[in-house]
Amino acid sequence: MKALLLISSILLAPLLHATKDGDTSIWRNFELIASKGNLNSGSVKINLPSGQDGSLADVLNKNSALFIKYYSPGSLASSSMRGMGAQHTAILWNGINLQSCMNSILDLNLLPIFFLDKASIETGANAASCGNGAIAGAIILNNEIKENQRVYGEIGVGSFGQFNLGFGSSIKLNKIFLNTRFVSRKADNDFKYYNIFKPDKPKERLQNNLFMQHGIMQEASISLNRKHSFYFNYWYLESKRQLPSAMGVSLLAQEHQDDYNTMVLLKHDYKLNQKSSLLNKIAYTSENINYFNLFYPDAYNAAKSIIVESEFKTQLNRSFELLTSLNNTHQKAWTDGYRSGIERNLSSVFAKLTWVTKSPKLKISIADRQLIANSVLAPVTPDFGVEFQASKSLKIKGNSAYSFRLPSFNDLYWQGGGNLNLLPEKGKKHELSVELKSKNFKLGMTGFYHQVDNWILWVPSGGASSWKATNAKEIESKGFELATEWKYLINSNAFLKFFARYQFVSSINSDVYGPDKSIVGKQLFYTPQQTGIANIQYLFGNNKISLSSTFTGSRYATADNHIDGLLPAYTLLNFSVARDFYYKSFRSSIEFTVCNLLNTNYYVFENRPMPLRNYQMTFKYNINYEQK
Amino acid sequence: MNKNKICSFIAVALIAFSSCKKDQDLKVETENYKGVFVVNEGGFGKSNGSIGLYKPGSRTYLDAFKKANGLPLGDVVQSMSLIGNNFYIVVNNSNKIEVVSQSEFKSVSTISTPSPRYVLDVSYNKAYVSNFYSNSIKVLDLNTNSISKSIEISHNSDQMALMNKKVYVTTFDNKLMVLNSLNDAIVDSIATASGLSKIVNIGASRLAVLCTGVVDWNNGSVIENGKIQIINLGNSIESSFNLSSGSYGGSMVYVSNTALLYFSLGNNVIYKMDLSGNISEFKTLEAGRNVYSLTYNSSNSSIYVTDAGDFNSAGKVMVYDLSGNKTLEFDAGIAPNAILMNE
Repeated sequence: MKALLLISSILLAPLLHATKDGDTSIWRNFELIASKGNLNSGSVKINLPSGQDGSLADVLNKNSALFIKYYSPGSLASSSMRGMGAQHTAILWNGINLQSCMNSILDLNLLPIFFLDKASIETGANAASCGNGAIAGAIILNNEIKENQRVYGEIGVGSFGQFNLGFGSSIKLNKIFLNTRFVSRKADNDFKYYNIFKPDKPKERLQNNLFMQHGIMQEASISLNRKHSFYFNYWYLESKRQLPSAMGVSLLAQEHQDDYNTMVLLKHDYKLNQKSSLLNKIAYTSENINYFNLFYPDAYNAAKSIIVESEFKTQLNRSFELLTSLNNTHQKAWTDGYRSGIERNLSSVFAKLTWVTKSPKLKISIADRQLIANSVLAPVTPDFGVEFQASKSLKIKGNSAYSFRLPSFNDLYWQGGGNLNLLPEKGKKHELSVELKSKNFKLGMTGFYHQVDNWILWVPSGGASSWKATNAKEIESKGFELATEWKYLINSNAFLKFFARYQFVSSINSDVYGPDKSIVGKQLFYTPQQTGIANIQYLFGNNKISLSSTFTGSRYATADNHIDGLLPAYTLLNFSVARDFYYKSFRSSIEFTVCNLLNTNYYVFENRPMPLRNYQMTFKYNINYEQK
Repeated sequence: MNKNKICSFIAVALIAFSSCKKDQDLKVETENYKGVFVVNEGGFGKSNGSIGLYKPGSRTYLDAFKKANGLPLGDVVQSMSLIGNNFYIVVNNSNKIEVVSQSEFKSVSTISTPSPRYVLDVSYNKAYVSNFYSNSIKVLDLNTNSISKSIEISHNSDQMALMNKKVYVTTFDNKLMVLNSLNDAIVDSIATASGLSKIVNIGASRLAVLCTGVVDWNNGSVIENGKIQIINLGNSIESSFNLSSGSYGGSMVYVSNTALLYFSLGNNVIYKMDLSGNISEFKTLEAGRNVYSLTYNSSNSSIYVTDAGDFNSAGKVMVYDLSGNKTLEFDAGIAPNAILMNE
C-alpha cells in the first residue's frame, strides 16, 4: 500500500506542471457518438475511446452500457445487447463476422485491445447489414494501418499479478507498409474476496484463475496505383487460462482451457471510376478450444471458416446510391459432440438502395439480404430506414427490419441433445433515434422494440437426465438508450469532458411453446433492466484526471424471477490520473488507475466473487522515426 | 456557472450515481424445523442448492439451512438422511457433508469428503458414504463425524440400501456391490439389468432395483427397455420384470400399505407394480411436468412427487393420495430431488 501511495504521488507530481501543448493523445478522440458510418440507419453508433488497455471485454465494461457477462476477470466474457443473448450480437472484425459456428458466440476476453485500432457499438444493427446472428446489434472492430514509420508499445502492471506487454513497429518498404504487433498478457487473478459460504465470511484468495495470452498481428498494405490497393491482416492468439469455480464449489476438477485463434484477411479495393468501387475480401478464421477437467476426458473442439465477399458500390445518380454484395461462408467444426466433423455453406446476396435528397435533407434506404444455408433459404431480412436532418443540430432516424439467427452446430448436431429440426430464430425490430448536436454537446436517444420468435434454448427432455436444443419461446425486448457527451472549455489549456450512456430494457418471455407457461412475462435471467456509465475527465496541459462510474441494475439468476435469485445492483467507481510526455518524436503517457475505488463487494453472476479495490498502471510510448 | 461549480456538480452527480446499497447480511433466525424437508440440488456449478422446509400448517416455505445458519449451503445438494438426532446433508459438488441438529437445524459439524452422494446408517455409530468420483465407500464414524475408513469397491457408487446387515450399493456399471456392514468387507456383487438407477427395500427380506434400460444419446430412441428386478436375501435376482420403455433415469418408491412399487421413467407418468410384475398407470401428471423423485410418507399415506422443471426456476412438489388425487402442491427450490419428513 505504501508503495502504491509512493507511485501515485510520483505520478501526481507532474500534474502541477501543465504544458500548453493541446494536441496530445489524451485530448483526442472526443467524438464517441459517431455522426456517420452506421451499418443501419436507425441506431446511434458509439465509438469506444481509443488508447485503452486489456481485452475488448474490459473496454466494453468500462465504456458502454452493455451488460458484459463474465464469471471472473479473464474468464469467458460475452455481451448482452438490448436484453438479448451473446449469440444475438454480431462481432464484426474488419467486416468479418467472428461468431463461432459451434456455439454462435465469441469470447470477448480473448481479443486484446492492443490489436485493434477502432471499436464501436451499434445497437440495433441487423441481419440485412451484418448477416446471420445480428438480432440485437453489432460490435464493430476495425484495423486501420497508420502509414508512418514508428515503434510503439505499452507496459501495464496491476494488482493480482496483472502484466500486459504490447509492442508494435511500422515500416515502409517502397509502396508496402508493414505493421507488426506482439502482445503478451498475464494475470494470476488471485484476488481476495469474502467467502459467504463460510461462517464469518473470511477473506480468501480466488484459486485456479490464471490467465495467459500471447499473440502476433501482421498487417500489410500496398497501393499499386490510384485504382488498386490491397490490405492484409493476420492474427494469431494463444490463450491459456484456468477456470475458477463458484464459491462453495469443489476445486477438485481443476478445470482449465486453452484457446488458439487465427484470423487472416486479404482485401482488394478497386476504384472502378469516380462513382463506383469494388471491394473484395477473402478471410480465414480458425479456433481451437481445448478443455481439461480431471474427472472427464479432455475435450478438443475446432472450427474453421473461409469467407469470400465481394461488395460493389455505385452512385447511380445525384440521389441514388446502390450497394450490393455477394458473400460465401464455408464453416466446418469438430467437437466431442460431432467428432467426424460438420460442414455448412452459407451463401448470401445483399442489396441496399439509398435515396438522398438535399431539400429536405432526407435519406431513405431499403435493403435486403437473402441467405442460403446448405441449399435451404433462410428467412428474408428486409430493412427500411429513414434519416431526416431537421436542422443543423437535430437528426431523426428510424428503422424497421427483420433479422434471423441460424441454429449453431452444437444446437443442431451435438450428440445427445442436438436437434436437426430446429428452425432459425426470427427477429423483427423497430427503432427511432434522435440525435442532438452542438459544438460541444451531443445527445443520442433511441427507443426500440424487438421481437424474436423460435428462441433456441436447451431444455430438459425425456426425463431430467437429458437436455435438448429446442425452439422454446418468444422474446419481446423494448426499451431506450441514451448517450451523451459534453465538452466545456475552461481556458485554452484546460477543459472538462463528460460522457454517459444509459440503457433501460424490458426483455421478457412473451410466450413459451410448451405447456408450462410459468415464465411468461418474466424478465430474461441475468438481464438487468438498467445499465449505465458516466465518465468525467478534467484535462489540463498534458494531464488528465478521470472519474468513471458504471452501474449495473439488479437482475434475476433464475428464469422464474424468484426473489431468492435476485442479484443486487452495483456501482463501481474508477479513478485515474494520466500524463503525456514528449521529447522530439518520442511521445509517451503514463496512467495510474484505481479500480473499484469504493471497494464494492459485487457479483456479476451468482456466487462468483469479483475483485475488490485494485490498481493498474500503464506506460505507453510511440516513436515516429520518419514523419509521413 | 463557473468552472468550480461545474466540477462540483459533476463530481456530486457521479458520486450520487455510484452510491450503492451495502450487502445485507443474512440473519440467523430461530424456527420450528418441523414439516416437509425438500432437498434442492440446485444448478450444477452454481452453488444454489438448498434444503427447503414446507410447513403444512402455515403453508409456508423457507430455506431452512440458510435461515438456521446464516449461510448458503453449496453446490449440488444430493441427499439428506436423519441419523440419530442429526441430519446429514450431502453437498456433492462442495465435497462436504453438513451435519445439522434435528431440532434447530444448526450446523454441528462439516465433514470434508470428495464427491459424496448418499449417507446410510449401517450400524451403531457407523454410516457409509457413497462416492461419485472415487471407487470407494467411505466409512463415517458417527461419534466423531469423521471419515474413519475407505472401502475399495472398484466402482463409483450411488444409492445404498441395508438388508440383513448387508449394504447393497448401486454403481454406474450395472452392478450391485454387497458389503458386510459389520466388517466392511465386500461379500458379493450382483450384475443387474442395464441402467441401474434406484434401489428400495421391500420389507426386511427383499430389495427392488429400477434399471432404466439404454437410450441412444444421439436421437433419444430407446435401445433397451428398462427392468425392475427383485433381489432376495441370498443376493440373487428373484424376479425380473420388463418395462414398456427405457429412459435416462427414473424414480421408484415402495409403499408397504398397498405392497406396490410406484415408479417413473422420468417423464410425466407414474406407474404402480405389484410384486408379481403387474404394471398399471397410477397417475399421469399434467402436460409439461416431469417426475424427478418419488417419496412415500406413511403418516399421511401420500406420495410426494418432485418436478425439477427447467432446472433454473423453482421446482414443484406435488402430493398425491394413494387414489391418485392431488392434495397439495407447492414451490420448492432449484431442482428438488428428494423429500424427507420431520414431523
